[in-house]
Amino acid sequence: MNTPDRPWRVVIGTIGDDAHIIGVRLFEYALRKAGFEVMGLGAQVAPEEFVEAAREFQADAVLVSSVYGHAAHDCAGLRERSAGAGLEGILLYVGGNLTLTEEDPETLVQRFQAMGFDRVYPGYTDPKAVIAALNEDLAERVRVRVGRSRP
Amino acid sequence: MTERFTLGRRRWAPRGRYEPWAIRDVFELSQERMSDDEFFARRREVLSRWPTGREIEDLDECIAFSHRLGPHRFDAWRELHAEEKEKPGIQTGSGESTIEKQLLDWKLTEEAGATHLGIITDTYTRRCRYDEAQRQMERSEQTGEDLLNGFPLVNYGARRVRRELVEQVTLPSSGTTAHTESPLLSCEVGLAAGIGTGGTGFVEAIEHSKDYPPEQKIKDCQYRYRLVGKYDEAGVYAGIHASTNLTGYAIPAMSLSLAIMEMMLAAGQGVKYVGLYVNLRNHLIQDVASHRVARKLLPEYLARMGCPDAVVTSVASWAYEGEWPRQQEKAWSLVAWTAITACLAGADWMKLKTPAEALNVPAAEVKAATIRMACYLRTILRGQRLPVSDDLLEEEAMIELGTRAIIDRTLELGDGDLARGMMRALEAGVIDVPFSPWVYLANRALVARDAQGAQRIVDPGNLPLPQRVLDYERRKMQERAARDQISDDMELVMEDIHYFAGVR
Repeated sequence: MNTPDRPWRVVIGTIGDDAHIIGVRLFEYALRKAGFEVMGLGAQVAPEEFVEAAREFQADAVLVSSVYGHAAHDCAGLRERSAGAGLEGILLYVGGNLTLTEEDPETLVQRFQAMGFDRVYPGYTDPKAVIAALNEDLAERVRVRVGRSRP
Repeated sequence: MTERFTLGRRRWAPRGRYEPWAIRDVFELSQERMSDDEFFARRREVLSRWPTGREIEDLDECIAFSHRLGPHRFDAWRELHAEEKEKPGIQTGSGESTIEKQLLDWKLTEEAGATHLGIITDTYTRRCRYDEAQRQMERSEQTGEDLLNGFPLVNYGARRVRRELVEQVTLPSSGTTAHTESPLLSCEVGLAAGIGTGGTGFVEAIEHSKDYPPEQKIKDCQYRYRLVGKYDEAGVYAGIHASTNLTGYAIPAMSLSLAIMEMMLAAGQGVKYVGLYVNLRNHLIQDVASHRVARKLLPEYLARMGCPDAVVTSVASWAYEGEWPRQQEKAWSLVAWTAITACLAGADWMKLKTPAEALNVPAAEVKAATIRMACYLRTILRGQRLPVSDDLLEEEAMIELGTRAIIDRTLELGDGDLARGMMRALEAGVIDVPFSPWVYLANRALVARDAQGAQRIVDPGNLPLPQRVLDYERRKMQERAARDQISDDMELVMEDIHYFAGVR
C-alpha cells in the first residue's frame, strides 16, 4: 500500500545480457540521496527478475537501463509481465542507448511508450531529471487515489 | 543499513561443470589451513571439469616438472634475486586464440626486453565454459582467425602448454587465471605447466561477477592458495601476487586493504612467496604513497597472521584499469606515464597495458613497441625516485590509516578469523567498492577525483575510515568543488567517469 508517508520504492537495473553497471549505480546513489528506497539489481538482469524484485520489494517504480542496443527485444512484454504479477499500476521507465541504429528520439519514445513504458529517456540522462519525473508521477498517483477515496 | 537485496543469492547456480562448496553457515568458513582430505577431495572434482584435468592428477609429477624448469622460471624467485639495475621489471598481458600464436607473441615479447611473461585466459574459460572455448579454439586453428579474446589454457592442457609454450621460452611467466566463476582448473593447469597464477579471486568477483556467492569465492580462493602453498612448500617459487584493480574507481585504502587481506588468507594456506600489484590511479603522489604503504603493511599483517615463513617478494605497479583513451597519442602518453610512475615509485616490476587498450586485443608488434618504450624510459629514469615531501608523507599517512582501519575492522567482525570477517565485512559494507556489478556489495561508498586528480572519498558509506582521513578527503574535494564551481557530489562523480578517456 503506497502512502505519502512511506518513502517511494524503486527497483533499478540493466536489462538482458548487458553488463553496463556504472550508470545504474550512479542512479541508485542519486535516488537514495533523494529519499527513495532502492533495490539495485545491478546488470544482466532478466525481465522476470525485475518483476519478481518489484513484487518482493513492493516497488512503486521500475527503472530499466539498457546501453548495448537490444532494449526493444529485452523490454518486450515487461508491462504484460508486470500486470500478470499483480503490478498493474507500477511505473515503468526505460533509458539508455535504446537502439543500435540512428533513430529519431521522438519515434523511439513513442515506440517504447506503446510497449507500456510511462517515461522513455533515449541517450544520456541526468538522474535529477528522472527523479523530478518520478516525484511528479508518483504524486499524481497519490492525488488520484486520494481523489477516489473522497465520498 | 537498509534492507539487503536477496534475490541474487537465491538465483545463483553454477554455470559451468562444477559443484559448489557445501557451506550453510558463516561459521563453516575459517582462515585455518585446508586439510589434505578436503583439498584432495575438491581437487578430484576440479580436475574432472574438463578432460585435460586427467593429465595432471599426479600433483607430485607437476611439482617435479616445475623443479625441472628451474626456479628462475617463476616470478617470486626472479624478484628475490633480481639486481637493482634490472628493476623495475616489465610485463604485458597476452592472450592469443591458438598456442602457435601465443608462442610467437611470447617470443616477440622476450626479444623486445620484457622480464616477465604474462598470459590471460579468454572469457569462456573464465566462465568455465570450456566447451565453447574448445569450439572457438578449434575453429581458430583451422581458419587462422582470432576468435577468442584470450588463451584457452584449459583446453590445450598442461602437457601441450609445457611442450609447445613454456619450454620454448626462457622468462618467468604468470597468468591472470583467477577470474569470476570458479577458476580452479585454470590455476591447476597453469601451475602444472609452469605458469604461475596471479590476481586474487575476491577482487576479481568485485570487478566482474554479478552473483557468485562470496562464501564460495572465499573457499575457492583458499583452495587456490592451498594449491600454491603445496608448490611453495615443495621448494617451487610459485608464489602469488594480489591484484588491487577493483573497478578503477576505488581509493587506495579500499584496494590495498583487500589485497593485503587476500595475501593474509594465502599465507594462512601455506603460500610462502607473496606480493602485491598497486593499481595506478595516475596521480603521482597518491601512486607512490600507495607503493610505500603496501611495502610497510604487507609484511606487518602477514606476521599478524602468524605466518613466519611468508616472504614479501615484491610490490609491482599495474597500469590504470579505468577507461582508456581511444586516440593513440593520448594512449601512448598513458603507457609512458605508467612506466614513469613505476620507476619513480621504486616498483619491483610493472604490468603494462598497450595503447590499443580501448580499441581491441593488441597485436604482438604493439606489445613489443610498448615494452621497448618502457625499457627506454627505465634507462632514462634509472635510480631516480620521487623525492619525499610533506605532501607525500601526509598522503601516505592517510592511506595507511584507512587501510589499517578496514583490515582491523574486518578482523574484529570475524572475531579474529579473517575468512569469517571478510563475509561479515561485505554484509556490513565495511568492504565496499563503487560501480561493481556484484550484488553482494553495499554500494554505499562513492569516489571522485580532487583538483589534482587523486581519488578521494565523496561518501564513505559504511567504510570505517577514521575522522582524520574523512576530514583530509573532504578538504581535498572542497578544493575541487571551489575550483570547478560544482557543489553537487553526483556531478563531481559523473564528470570523473571519463577522466582519462581523453574527453578534456
